[in-house]
Amino acid sequence: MTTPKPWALGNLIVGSEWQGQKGDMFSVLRGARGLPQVEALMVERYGRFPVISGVSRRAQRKTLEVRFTNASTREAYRTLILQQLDTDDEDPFRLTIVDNLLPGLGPEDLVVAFGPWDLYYDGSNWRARGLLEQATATLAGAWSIAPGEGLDLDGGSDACTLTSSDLSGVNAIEVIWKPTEDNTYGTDRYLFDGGSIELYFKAADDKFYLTDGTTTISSAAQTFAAASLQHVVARFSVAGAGEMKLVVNGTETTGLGTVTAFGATCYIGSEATPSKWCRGELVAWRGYDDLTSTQIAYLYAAFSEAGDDPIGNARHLDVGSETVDPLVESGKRTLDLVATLAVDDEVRWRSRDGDYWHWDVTSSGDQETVTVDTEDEVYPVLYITPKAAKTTGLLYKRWVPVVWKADAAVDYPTKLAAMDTASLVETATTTTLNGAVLAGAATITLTDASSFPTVGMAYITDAVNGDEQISWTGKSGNDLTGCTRGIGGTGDVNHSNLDPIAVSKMLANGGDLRVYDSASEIDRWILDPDTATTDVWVVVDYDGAQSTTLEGAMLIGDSVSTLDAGTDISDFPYEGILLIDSEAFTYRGKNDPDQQFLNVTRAVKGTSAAGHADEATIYWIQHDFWIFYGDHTLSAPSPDATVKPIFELDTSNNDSWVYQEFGDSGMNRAGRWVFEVVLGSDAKVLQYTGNQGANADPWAEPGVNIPGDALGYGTDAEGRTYLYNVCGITNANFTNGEYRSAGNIANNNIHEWEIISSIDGITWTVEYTIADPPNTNWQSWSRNEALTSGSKYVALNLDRSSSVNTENLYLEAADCTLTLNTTYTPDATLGSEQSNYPLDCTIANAATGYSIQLQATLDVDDVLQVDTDAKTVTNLTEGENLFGALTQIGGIRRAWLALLDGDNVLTYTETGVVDVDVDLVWDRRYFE
Amino acid sequence: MSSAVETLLFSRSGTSPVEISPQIERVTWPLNQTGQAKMYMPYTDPLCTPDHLRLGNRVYMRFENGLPPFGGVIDLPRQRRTNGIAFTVYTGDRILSWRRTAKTVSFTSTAPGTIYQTLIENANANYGTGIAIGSIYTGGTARTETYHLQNVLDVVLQLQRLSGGEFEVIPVYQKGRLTFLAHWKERIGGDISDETLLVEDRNIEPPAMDEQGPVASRVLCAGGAAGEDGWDDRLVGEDTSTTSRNEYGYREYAEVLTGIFDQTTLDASATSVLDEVGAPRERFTITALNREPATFGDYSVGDTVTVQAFLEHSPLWAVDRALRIVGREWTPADTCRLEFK
Repeated sequence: MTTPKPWALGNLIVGSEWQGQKGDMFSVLRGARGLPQVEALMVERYGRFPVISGVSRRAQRKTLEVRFTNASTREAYRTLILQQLDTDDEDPFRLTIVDNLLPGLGPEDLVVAFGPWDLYYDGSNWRARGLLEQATATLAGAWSIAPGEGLDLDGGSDACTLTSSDLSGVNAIEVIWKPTEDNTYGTDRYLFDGGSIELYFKAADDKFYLTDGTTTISSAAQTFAAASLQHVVARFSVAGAGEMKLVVNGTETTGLGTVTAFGATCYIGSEATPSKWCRGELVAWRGYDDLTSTQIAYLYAAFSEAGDDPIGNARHLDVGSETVDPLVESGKRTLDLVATLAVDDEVRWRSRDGDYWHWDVTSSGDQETVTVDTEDEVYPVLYITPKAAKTTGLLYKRWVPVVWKADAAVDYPTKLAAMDTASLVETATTTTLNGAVLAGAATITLTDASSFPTVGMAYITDAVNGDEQISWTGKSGNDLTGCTRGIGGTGDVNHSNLDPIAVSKMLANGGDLRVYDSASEIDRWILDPDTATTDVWVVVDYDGAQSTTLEGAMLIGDSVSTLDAGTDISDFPYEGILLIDSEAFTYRGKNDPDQQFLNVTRAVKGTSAAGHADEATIYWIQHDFWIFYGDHTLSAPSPDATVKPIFELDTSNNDSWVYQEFGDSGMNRAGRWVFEVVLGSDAKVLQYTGNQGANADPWAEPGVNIPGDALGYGTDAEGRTYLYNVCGITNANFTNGEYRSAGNIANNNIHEWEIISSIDGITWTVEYTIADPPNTNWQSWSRNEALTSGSKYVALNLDRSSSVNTENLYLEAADCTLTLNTTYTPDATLGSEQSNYPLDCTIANAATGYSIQLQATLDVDDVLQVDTDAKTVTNLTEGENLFGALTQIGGIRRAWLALLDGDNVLTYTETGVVDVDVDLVWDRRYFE
Repeated sequence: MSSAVETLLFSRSGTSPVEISPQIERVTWPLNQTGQAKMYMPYTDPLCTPDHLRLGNRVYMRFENGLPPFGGVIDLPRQRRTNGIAFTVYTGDRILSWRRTAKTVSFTSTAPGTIYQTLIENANANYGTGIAIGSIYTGGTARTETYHLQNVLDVVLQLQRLSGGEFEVIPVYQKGRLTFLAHWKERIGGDISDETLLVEDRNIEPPAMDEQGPVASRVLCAGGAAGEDGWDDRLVGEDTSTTSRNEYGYREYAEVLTGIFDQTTLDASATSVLDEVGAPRERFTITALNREPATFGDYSVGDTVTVQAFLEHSPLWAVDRALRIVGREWTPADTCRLEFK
C-alpha cells in the first residue's frame, strides 16, 4: 500500500504530486486559483488512496480533475472503482486541508491525532475519529464538547481511551490543554496514562511529570491561570531506549529513558482508574513516531502563533470520482489519464472537527437553542436515543421470523403464531379489590397496588357479575384513578370485595394486537383471543426463497461484521435480515464475488447471539414481522375481508389447510380454489358452488357440472376446480363429497369423476377415480389420497368423452383438508416479548421553519441515527435501514433539517415521551 | 439553480429504500403512455452496483418544484459505458408489458374499467406485479372482447384508445415501501383553464406547433373473422362527423380490430377513433418555466389550461384558447417541455 503524501494546495484546490514508482499513480489535483495559499493533506480513511467518494446531494455538480500519469486505465479504474465498491467504507473519503501545517512534519510522522475532535456514534459508544483515520478513541462517562472546543473530561466515569495497538509506533505525544482551574487546584491532573507511561500535573509542587515506569522527570514549577492554554510535549522510549524529554510551553527537561510498552488500554486525559482527570479541555492530543527538539520547537511555535485557534482551520471537501479519461494536451491524446471528480451540490469546505450538542428531552414540546458557528447552513447527524419507556402506546412487541423456502407467491396466507394471550390479559401481577366496586366507578381501590403501574389496564375476575377489563390513568396509594370501565370487549359491571384483579398487557378481545411488516401495519386475523392458543394469520407476498450456508463456524462471542457464505449470494437483496439457527442478523451490502455479507450486526430483533456450525443454513428473512400489543386506547381494526384466507383459520396451520369454503365471487380471498373449463365451452362445463348443483357465496362446494344433451350441448367436455399451492401438496383428504349422473349411464360413454394432481399445472396425474354411480341419484364419496411427489396442484376433475349425450354430471365435496409439503412450507417462530418504544416524534427548527417526523419501533436505548447530510436513517443498534421512518414535513427539499448560523430553536414533540436523548453532530460549512 | 430532486431506489419488491445520486437526463409524464426517467450513474458511485441497478428494482423521485412524484421500475435498455451505467426507469405500467393474458380470456359486455382491473388482477394472481387496483371508472360503453396470450400493456393501450377511457399507474411511497396504484378514469385531470395561464415570454418560452394527420370524417372499424383472410363474416362498426366533413372535407379512415366480434364494441371503437382523427392533431412543443402566473405545481398532465402564444407574431395564427396537456418532460435545467392537444 502506498503511503499518502502531502498535496500542495493553492486556493480552493490546486495540484500537487503523488510520486509513485512503477505502476503507482502520479496524480495532480487541479482547480481554481486565486485564494490564499494553504498547505494540504491528502487524508483518507482506512489508509487508502485516493480520497474519493460518492456524496449525498445533487442538483449542482462541480468538477475537479485529478490526473494520473504512468498509470494504465485499468490501474486507475481499479483504484477508483474498487474502493467505491468497497461498501465496508461507509463514510466518505475526504480531502482535508489545514492552514498551520508544520514544516518538516507530515502525516507520515503523525501516528494518531485528536483535536479537531471528529465525533460519531457506532451503535455502542461515542467515538472520536482520529485526524488521519488510523485510530478511533472511545469516549465514556459524562464528557462534553462545546462546538469548536476541546474534549472536556471532568470526573465521574469520564474516559477517553485508545488501545496499545492504536499507539503502535508512538514515541512522543503533544498535548494542548486548557485547564478549568489555575495551577493551585488541589488535585493531580492527568493528561495521559498509558500503563507505565504517565504524563500529569502534580498539585503538590505545580510541576508536570513524565514517567516511563523507571525514570521520572519533571518540569519546573508552573504558574498558569484557569482556561489558559498549556502546550506539553513528552518524548519517551517505546521503540528503543533513548532520551526522555518533557517540554512545557517550550522549556525542555530531559532524562535517560527506559524501553517500555503501552498498557493494553491507554487513557487520554485521565488516570487508568479514573479518579484524577485533566479537569479541563484537551484541545488537541497527538501521538508522533518521534520528535526531535527542533520539531518540538516548531510545534510550540505553531501553537504560539495560532493563539486562540491552536487546532488550526482544518477543513475537508467530499468529492466523488466521476470519470477517468485519457488526457488530451495540445489536441493530442497522451498516455496520461484525467479523473474528473464531482462535488455534488455546492462546493463548501467543511470543518474537520464535528461540533457536538447534547439535548435531553423530558417532555413533549421541549425546546433547545442550538448555537451554530458556520458560514453556510449545516446538516447535522442526529442520534435519538429513548432512555425511558413511554407510558402509552403499543408497549410490547414480539418478532416473528418467517423462513420462506419456496418460489415466489402472491397473497400467501401465513400463520405467524399460536400465542398465549390469556397470560397477557391476566398477568401474574395480581391483587384483589378492596371493597365492592360499582359499575361506572372511576376510582377502584385495591388491596395492594404497589406492583401496579401508574398507567395501565387490568382484568377483574368476577364469577358472579362477569369479568371486566379496565384501564386507568393514575394511581394514588392503592387507588386506581381515572378508570375506564368495560374495555376489551367486556361489560362495565359491579364487582365484589376481594374479587381478583390482574395487570393486563393486552386487551381481552385482542383489539390492540397489531401486526407490522417493517414500518407498516398490515391486516391480521386473530382467532380465540384471551386463550393459550390465539392464532394470528396474515396474507403477504413472498419473493423466491434465498438461502446459503455459513462458511466457517461462528462462536457465541465472536465479533461479527461480515458473514462468509458457502454458496452464491448474488440473488440476495442488497440489504436485509438473515437467520442462522435462532439468531438474527442484519446486513447492509454484500460482495457477490467473495460471497460475503457486509456490515453485519448480529443478535438483532431481540434474538441472542449463539454459536453456529460450519455450513449452518443462512436463511433470508423477507418480512420483518412484529406483533405489537399493550395499548388499551386502541379499538379492534377491521382487516380487509375481501382478502381473508378462505380456509378455516382456527383449524389450519402453515402445514395443513382445512377447507369448508373454497372461494367467493370476489375472487380475492387468499388460498382460494379456481374453476377452469378444460375442454368444451363455457356453456358445456359449468361451475357451481353450493350443495347438489346449487350455488352459494362463499363457495361451499368446489362443484363441476357437465350438462347433458337435454340442454342441447355437444359431446366431449372436461372441467375442474383446482387449488395451487407453491409449497406443494402431499395429501388431499376430501370428505362429505357427492357426485351424480342425472341421466342414463348405461351407454358407452366414458365419464370420470376424479381427484387429479399436477406438478406444473400442465400435465395432470389421476390420483383417484370414483366408481360410476349405480343409479341417477346423488351418491356420497370421500377419499384420503396421497398425491404424487412434487404436486403443487390438486383438483376435482370431471371428464366426459361420449358418443351419445345423455348424462348431466356433477362432482362436489363439502370439506377438504390439504397436507402441504413441509419441506417448503413457511416456518414461523414467535420471538420472546420485548418492551417497545413506539417512536413518533417531530423535530422542528424555528430558524428554518422546517421539521421532520420520525416514526419507528425501537427499544429503550436503541440509537436511531438520522443523517441529514447523507440522508440515511439507521437503527445503529440493529444495523438496520429505517429510511421509511422519516417524513419531511412540508415537502422534499435540499436539506432535511438544516441548522443556520447562530441560534436555532429546536422543538421536540412526542406524546408520552419521558426521556429521550438527542445528540447532534455537524460539520461547519465554509464558502472557502 | 435547479430545484432539489430526491431519488430513492428500492428492491424489486419495493423495500429497502436508499437515496441515490444519479445524473438525470430527463423525466417524462405522458398521458396514457409509459413515462420514463433517463439516468446515469458513474461506476465510482458506491451505489452503482448490479444489485442496486437490477432490472425490476423500483425508483421513486420527488421534486421540490411542485412536479408530481415519478415512480417506476428499472428496465431495458441499459447501457454499460466506459465510465458508468445509463439506465431508464419506466412508470409502473411497464410491468404490465412483462405479462401476457391467458390463453383465452373473454369479456362480454364489460365496462372498459372492469376489463382493465381484471387484466391486472389476473396478472397479480399469477405472480405479483406490485400494482394494486385504485380508482376504477366503470362507466363507458361496455365491450365484448377476447384476448389470447397478448401483451397486457398492449391490450390496455388499445383498450384505452378504443374506449376513450384513460389510465395511469402512479407510485405510492409510504413508510419505506414503494408500490403502484392503477387507476382507470373517465378523464384524467380537469379543466382549470379559468385559473391556469401559460403565457409566452412569461412562463413559457416561444412555442412551436405541428399539425398532424390523418384526418377523417368517416371511420370504419372491422372486427375479427373466423379465417385469416375471411371478410364475409366480419362485423363493421362505423361513425361519421359532419363537423369534420364541413371543416376538412370528406375523408375516410379504417382499422381492422381482430379479437372484436361484437357490433356494439365496434361501433364504440369507431366513435373513439373518430374522436382522435376527426381533426388535425395540434402538437405544441412548449418549454415551460416554474414561474407565475402558473407554476409547475399548478397543473398536471391531463389538465386543460389556457395557452397564449404567437400573439406578438401573427394575429391570424395566434393561439389563445384552452388546451389539454398530454405530456410533460422535465430536465435538470428545471424546465418542462409540454405537449398539448
